[in-house]
Amino acid sequence: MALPKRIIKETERLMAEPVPGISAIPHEDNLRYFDVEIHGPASSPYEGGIFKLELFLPEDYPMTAPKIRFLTKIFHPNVDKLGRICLDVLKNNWSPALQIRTILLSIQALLGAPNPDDPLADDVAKHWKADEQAAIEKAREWTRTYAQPQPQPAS
Amino acid sequence: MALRMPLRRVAPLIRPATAAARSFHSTPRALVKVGDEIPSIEVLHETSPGNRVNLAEEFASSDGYIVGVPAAFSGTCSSSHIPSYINSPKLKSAGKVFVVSVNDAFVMKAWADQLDPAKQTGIRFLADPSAAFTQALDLGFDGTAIFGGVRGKRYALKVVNGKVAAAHVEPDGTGYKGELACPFFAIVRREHRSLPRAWLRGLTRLQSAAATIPPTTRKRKAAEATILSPTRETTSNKKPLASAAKVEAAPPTPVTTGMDSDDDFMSHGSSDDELLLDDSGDDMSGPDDFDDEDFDEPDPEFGLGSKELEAPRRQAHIVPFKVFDPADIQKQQDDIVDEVNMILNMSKEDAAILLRHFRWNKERLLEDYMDRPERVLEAAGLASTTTEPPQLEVIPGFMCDICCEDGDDLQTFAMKCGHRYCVDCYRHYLKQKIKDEGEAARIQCPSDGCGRILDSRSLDLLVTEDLVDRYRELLNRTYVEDKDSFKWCPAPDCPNAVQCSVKKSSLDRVVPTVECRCSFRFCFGCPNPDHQPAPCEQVKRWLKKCADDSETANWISANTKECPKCQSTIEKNGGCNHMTCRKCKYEFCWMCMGPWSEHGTSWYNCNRFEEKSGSEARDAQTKSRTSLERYLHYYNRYANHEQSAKLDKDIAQKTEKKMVQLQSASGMSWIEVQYLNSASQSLQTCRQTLKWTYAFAYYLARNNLTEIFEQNQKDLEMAVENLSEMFEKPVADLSDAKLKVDIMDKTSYCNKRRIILLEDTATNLAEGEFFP
Ligand SMILES: [Zn+2]
Ligand SMILES: [Zn+2]
Ligand SMILES: [Zn+2]
Ligand SMILES: [Zn+2]
Ligand SMILES: [Zn+2]
Ligand SMILES: [Zn+2]
Repeated sequence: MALPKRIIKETERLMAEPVPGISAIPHEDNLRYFDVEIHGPASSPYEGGIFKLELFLPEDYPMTAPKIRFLTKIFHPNVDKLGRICLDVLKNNWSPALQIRTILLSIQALLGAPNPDDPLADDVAKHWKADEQAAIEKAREWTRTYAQPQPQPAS
Repeated sequence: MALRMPLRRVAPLIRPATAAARSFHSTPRALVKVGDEIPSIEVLHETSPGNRVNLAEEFASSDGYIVGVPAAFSGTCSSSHIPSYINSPKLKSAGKVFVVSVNDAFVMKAWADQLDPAKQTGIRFLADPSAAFTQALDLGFDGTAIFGGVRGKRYALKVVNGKVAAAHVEPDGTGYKGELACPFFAIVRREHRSLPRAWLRGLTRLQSAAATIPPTTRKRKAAEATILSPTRETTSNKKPLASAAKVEAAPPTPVTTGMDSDDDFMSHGSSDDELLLDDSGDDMSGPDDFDDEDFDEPDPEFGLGSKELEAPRRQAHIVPFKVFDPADIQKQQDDIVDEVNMILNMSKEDAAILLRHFRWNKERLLEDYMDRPERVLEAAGLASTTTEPPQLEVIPGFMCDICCEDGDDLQTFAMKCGHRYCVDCYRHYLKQKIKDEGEAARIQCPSDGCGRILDSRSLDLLVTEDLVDRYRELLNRTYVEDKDSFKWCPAPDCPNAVQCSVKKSSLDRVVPTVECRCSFRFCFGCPNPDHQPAPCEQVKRWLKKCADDSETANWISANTKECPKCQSTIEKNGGCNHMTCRKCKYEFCWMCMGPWSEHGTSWYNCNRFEEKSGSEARDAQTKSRTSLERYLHYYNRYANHEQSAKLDKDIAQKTEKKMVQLQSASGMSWIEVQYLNSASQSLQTCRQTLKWTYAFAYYLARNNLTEIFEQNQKDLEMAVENLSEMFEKPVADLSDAKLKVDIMDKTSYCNKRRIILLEDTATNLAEGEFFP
């Protein structure tokens, strides 16, 4: 099945005008599958980290939201162990007018502002509540441990 | 006209001339005088401009009243005066009553429909579009400032023999300051409130009062109907007729009352103080008058208040309910939409959207709308509505943001919010919403963050043929699903809904069992089929207990819970404790099942959970102490009857065959073999009751009531088994007339035992005797 015009346009634009701190590159053999990198926002515990995510555009995209999850381990109350993200625009509030670009920006924003009212990772959230300072420190530590830029394999 | 006739009871309202003089004295500026003839001019319009009325001719044959109001829909008159008048027992003796206002015929008709939708009062609403009639009486005033022209004063004229016999004219022509001086007040007095809320309440009360049988009667009727023939209980589309009949059947108002009324009419001055004082000591505000209580709940209220339980003919084990077929439901929706459309003066489409937005809570809609119309419209996705019909457009150079197509002939659509997409995308989007997500009433503009809801006109334009039925069905469903007092009949393929206003808080004292027209019996308080006499909570506990030993059951209790609001089962997936019910959208906490909104500050750890876990642990302990043997005693009997009930179902199927065989073998008619069907039906119903008596008994603490209960249980059990045996007889025996009588006797005995048991249990339950 031919790739819909919408996906082609979005991809072109993502390549031509990349969002600062975010990259999304489609697989050559599957143009619905994207490798995503998001830079941790400044003055957040994720600052300095580069987080890898995978993004897939389902058959009926944009009528349904893209599927997206963190591949890099991250200590965040809205991201669970499997990297799944609790974000309203990926669920009930998805609109076909939203784009890959806007979704990735929302995720970046979520890193800058964890939403403790809607926790996805129980233990992380518990920790966050019990001792916010320690939790932030742990998030920093995880960022240093798991999200440090690694030399890109030549490709 | 036919409906009006019975209302015109002759009641000679003779008043002394002095009284008339007094009355007139109080309204010195009015030019119409006692003794004046009603002007014979054909200028008044009734219902439509083509239908002219000459009041002189109308009063040639009958006496009555002319009541003038400055404007149709004017607040004070709508809220209190006309309603109180309509509801006055004295109306019956009033003769012909005309309400006249300087308005056009259509406005007047709309008002009339509003106030007296059933046309049960006999009051006739006449428009005086040119103000000619009003001015002929010299009762006009310059209302330019408020109404933009000449208007009529607020007045009331009593007409006897074609002449003014009494006149009561509000001294202050504009009327709005001196509302207490409304002449209606002198006829029937009632609380006056001028707030918009009160006005609306007045209207809605009136709607329910006028459109239906008076609530007390209605309640009783419903209860009777249910008792007499639960299967036949249907809702009538002929409410106006029913209520008209009721009015007709009412005993004539004693003449003395009429005298009183007239006396009041004559003697009360129009000073506000005087009337205000008078109001407090009014002998007419007694219970016969306009009982406020009855109108506080605009929905037909079959609540289980003390009143209900005391009703003499009411059986304790039967709750009033009504069955509605799809046409009834449609009509109810249409009516309520019409009403809001009228009151708020907006299109029906918008009224429907607002109603759905408010989950069909009309009162809340009206109140909120009165307070903050803009916010309500905004919230419902109706901000900046215009009346232009929606249409598809081709816009040169347009590119659709969803599919990125941009052909020159691309059909596009946008609502008033201006978010434009191509029609294909719109349709694709709607298909997704309607088919996959089952949404209809609250589909929003596809644009991110735009909350605008697709109105039904836009949807008519966009929804493709294959989805229309589904869409309409979903829209219709909101009416039933949004109302706590409605439930769909759970029988497969049954399109009916049942209304029953049992309160959640009373479920420990009553087992609200209803029967659909399709003959399926089910509980209104929980998702189970008929489980009388056991209360819902017990049934839930019992079923859970019985299922506890299975692995699946364990998984279910760990991973699914029921939405605290709508009781649909929700499966937890993922770690997030913030649950949103797919069905009713209620947001709650998985840990404590409390509303999510209450977790705003204590953002993760739910404190409430700790309390709960403690009590659950204690519960578990109690349970473990319960003797297993005791449980097994009841469980075995329960399970046994459940097993038998399955066999009874087979019997029912076989019975149908038997009935056919019997007809051909014995020459009995179809009617004559119906007794077998009844027997099989009661066998099933009684067996169901019997089964649940064992769950009930398990939770029953031992006291002297237990013995009575167990005796009743035993009697029913015997009756059921005896009846059950009858179905083992070969067809050949059934043609024996003696056996037929025997079966019929056993059937009715079985039914009787069931009623006795249920009635006894329900009474004690309601009084809190079983589980204090
Ligand atoms: Zn969540
Ligand atoms: Zn499009
Ligand atoms: Zn919009
Ligand atoms: Zn049914
Ligand atoms: Zn129940
Ligand atoms: Zn909680």
